[in-house]
Amino acid sequence: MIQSLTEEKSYTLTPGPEGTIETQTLEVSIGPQHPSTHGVFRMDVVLDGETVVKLKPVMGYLHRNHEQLAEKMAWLGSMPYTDRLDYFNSMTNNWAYALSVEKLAGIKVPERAEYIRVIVAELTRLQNHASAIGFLLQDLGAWGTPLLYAFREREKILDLFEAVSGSRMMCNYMRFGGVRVDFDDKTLAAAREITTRFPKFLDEFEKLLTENEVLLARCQKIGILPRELAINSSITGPMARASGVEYDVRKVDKYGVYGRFDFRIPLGDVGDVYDRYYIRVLEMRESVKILEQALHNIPQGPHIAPEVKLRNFKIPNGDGYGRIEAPKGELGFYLVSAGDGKQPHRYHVRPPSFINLTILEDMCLGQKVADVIIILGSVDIVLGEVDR
Amino acid sequence: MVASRCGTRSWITMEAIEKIKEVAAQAVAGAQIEIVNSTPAAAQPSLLVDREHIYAVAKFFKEDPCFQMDFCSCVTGVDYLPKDDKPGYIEVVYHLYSVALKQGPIVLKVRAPRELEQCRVPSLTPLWRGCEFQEREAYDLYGVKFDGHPDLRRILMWDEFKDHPMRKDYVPPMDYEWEPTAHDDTLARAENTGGIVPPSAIEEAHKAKK
Amino acid sequence: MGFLGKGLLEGMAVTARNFIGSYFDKDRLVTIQYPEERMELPENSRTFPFLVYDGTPEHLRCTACKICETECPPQCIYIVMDRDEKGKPRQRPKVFDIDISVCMQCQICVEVCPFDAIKMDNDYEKSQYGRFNELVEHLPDLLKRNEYYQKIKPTEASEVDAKLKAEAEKKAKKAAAAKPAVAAQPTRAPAAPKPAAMPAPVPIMKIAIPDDAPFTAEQRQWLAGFLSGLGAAGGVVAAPVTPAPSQAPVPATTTAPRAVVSTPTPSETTPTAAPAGDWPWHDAGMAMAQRMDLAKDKPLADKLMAAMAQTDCHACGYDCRGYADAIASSSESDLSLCLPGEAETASMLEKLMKEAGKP
Repeated sequence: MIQSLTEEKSYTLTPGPEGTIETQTLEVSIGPQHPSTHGVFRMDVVLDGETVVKLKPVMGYLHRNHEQLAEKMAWLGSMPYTDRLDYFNSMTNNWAYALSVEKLAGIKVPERAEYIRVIVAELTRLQNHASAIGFLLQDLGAWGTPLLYAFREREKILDLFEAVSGSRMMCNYMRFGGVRVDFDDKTLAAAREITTRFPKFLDEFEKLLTENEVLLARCQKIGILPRELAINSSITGPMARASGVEYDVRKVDKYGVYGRFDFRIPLGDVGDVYDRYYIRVLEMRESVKILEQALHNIPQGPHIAPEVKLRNFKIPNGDGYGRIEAPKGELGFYLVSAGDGKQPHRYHVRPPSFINLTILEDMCLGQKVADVIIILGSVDIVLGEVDR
Repeated sequence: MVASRCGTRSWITMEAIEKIKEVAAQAVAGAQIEIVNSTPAAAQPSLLVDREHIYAVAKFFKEDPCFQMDFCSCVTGVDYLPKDDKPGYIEVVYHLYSVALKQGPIVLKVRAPRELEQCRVPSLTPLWRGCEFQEREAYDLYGVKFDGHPDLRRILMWDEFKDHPMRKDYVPPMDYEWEPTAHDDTLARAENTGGIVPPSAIEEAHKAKK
Repeated sequence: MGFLGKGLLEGMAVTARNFIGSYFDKDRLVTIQYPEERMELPENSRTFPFLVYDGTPEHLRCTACKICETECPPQCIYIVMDRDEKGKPRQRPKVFDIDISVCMQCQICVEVCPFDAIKMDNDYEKSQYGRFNELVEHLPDLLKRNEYYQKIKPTEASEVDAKLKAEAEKKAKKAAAAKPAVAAQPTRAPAAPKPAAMPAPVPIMKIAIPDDAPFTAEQRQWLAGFLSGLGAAGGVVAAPVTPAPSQAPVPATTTAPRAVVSTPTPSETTPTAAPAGDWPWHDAGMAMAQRMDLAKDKPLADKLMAAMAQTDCHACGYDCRGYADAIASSSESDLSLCLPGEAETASMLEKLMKEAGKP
């Protein structure tokens, strides 16, 4: 049941001088069935002509009760469910959960496992940013061309994930204390090949897009997010960095072995849709740098801490919050262990997509309805994460 | 001066949290702050603040130049059932970080009684806009009302939904339509493991369909 | 700088390069024409679980210890232990159902199985014509030969085979060293006649096009898939390709750990060839009363061990000896962890602990 938004405030527009047409606002529901809302997501929009006067996001269509399920299962049992949170980036979801449990239980991860985690996480970031740009261009009206070019590269990365973990998207790869299966030489060679060929793909991709006049005209100065508002609204990830917030969890927390890699954090200055697109391109280049360093320096060693039990795994009582820089933003898990410690007492996901939607309304006010779609596309949401 | 007062770290040690508590207690008159420990490995002790002063304490952490906690990362509701003679409560946990000084987290906890009419907590959305959706989620799933929230309504469940589903004593209603699945007997057996649907309800649903 | 429209023209050049290049360059055209062409899946690829048997379906590795059922996150496995006329567990499943509409292919069942009995298949063509019972796989559908497992996952299967062989040799060496009377060994060999009460399950095997058929490998693969799909709708059912009947002596490598499948006759009350010298009750085929009788003068830890199901399945998190020691030393307080032993073991453990004066 849609509550009429127009009842809350009066939107009667002052009529113009005699002879002009009387106008009214129009209430439109964009979604939940919509090809461009990145999932089942609804926005109730009040329009004055084509200009947005009010916008309320409505979510919950994909709520699958993930947090309550985790309270009924052992700690390892919710690892496959974390794959399905942000279903594009299952490796980083797994890592965030494994990191939170390791933090709470005090498990030390061997070095090779840390390097493997960095490699798969950066590969995930590459394929996520490429797909995000592809989807943004799809929203702009480029019917799938940039998207499928991005998907071509993504297929190579997914093939690597399948070779190492068994599944292309729902990898279930991380375990507490390491990773499930070690990288063999063939997989490392495949990763090296992807890393060497990716910059060439990026050059071609940029040639197609970065100076494209249509993109420039439609994306610059649209959906501007000021820096202070971004920090106050808990925005993280490429969206925040496009607004000039210099905050990357990889650099601040230095979790895993990220302290050893030399990479920069690109920052935007305007915070519009074009900046968010270009930040993603620059971040892909930085990820390639990290990948080169990690693949060069990966040591031999065990791929999992041997003392961690698969079954009857208990954690002492307490709570903790672990977070990583997922491709969409800061992904955190707040875990509370109480009672006998065999399953979580509370399991909460801090989803970046959900919180990045907080200022969707502020960004869209005054823009045209066509811009609302591309602003949503630049936020880069995945409904699995928004609704859990 | 800044470093000597509170230190700039990513993880908070016990000495640091004691000092932080003192500083906050001095700054906000009348605030009752306790330290709640976590596992020794996690090293994330939190500050439990009483309901009347949580807003002032949070404001202090946000505005004080030594802390500058301008980024509220995560807002969570946790339900604790009454146990032995200890009363139950619903706890709201805030994780605060600082983008300006690259430090954190400071974990603030505030408790409210479980009864729906008394389950109220001041909202921190006026301080951090990012709490808006997360407090709505805590209201939707736990029933905690946030006083001062600009738009407190359900976010993940639909508007006409009754009760608050993430509470530990929530019983799902059995009045929705469902189809028989192949493993009805698995579900019946799962009742013993605290599972979902009791077999008597399955039988009734079957009967109602016929 | 550029004129207005330069970006557009450059972009169109990129598109043209991709379009024309797709006729010449393999990298530009990445479509595979399914179902005429199929992608070769990597070895680790996983879809749904299946149960492994060595030689004949009676020699399945699964002991119905129910660990996979407990650990499965969406609870899609349903197991009922097979029992004989007296109600004693036979350490094999009578019912083993996996609901593949619920299974999320997470592979946790494979990781926790202590017997390497359940492994992941890579067959993804599982469409059925119904939504409910057609998507539940029962024990005959799930049983597949070890050779099939070796074919789809060669490295993994060779590791598992080596591990099982080493375990079997270790156990045989221990038994031979403990009891010099070799005469007792043959009676425990699995070649003993099977009790007639247990009918052998008939697996519905997929169609396998023989290697000497006049097709290329890809054509064979396609034909196999096509005909199997027909077969599942109720058409052809191929007979299981099994070796000689079970009367022939079965190689020790694959069956020595399963030596306990044959039911000991009631006359075997004396402790004969025991797998472990110090623990004559460590025989999963032995009845509870007999095991407790063997341990009746022993210390508490031995009595506790005799009360367990003797499968060393690690359901409790230890092996049988380890669990007994943990309970005796009070480091483990939960007495209900023995999954194969079920209520019988739990109540016996409680009784023993009460008698010993420990709560």
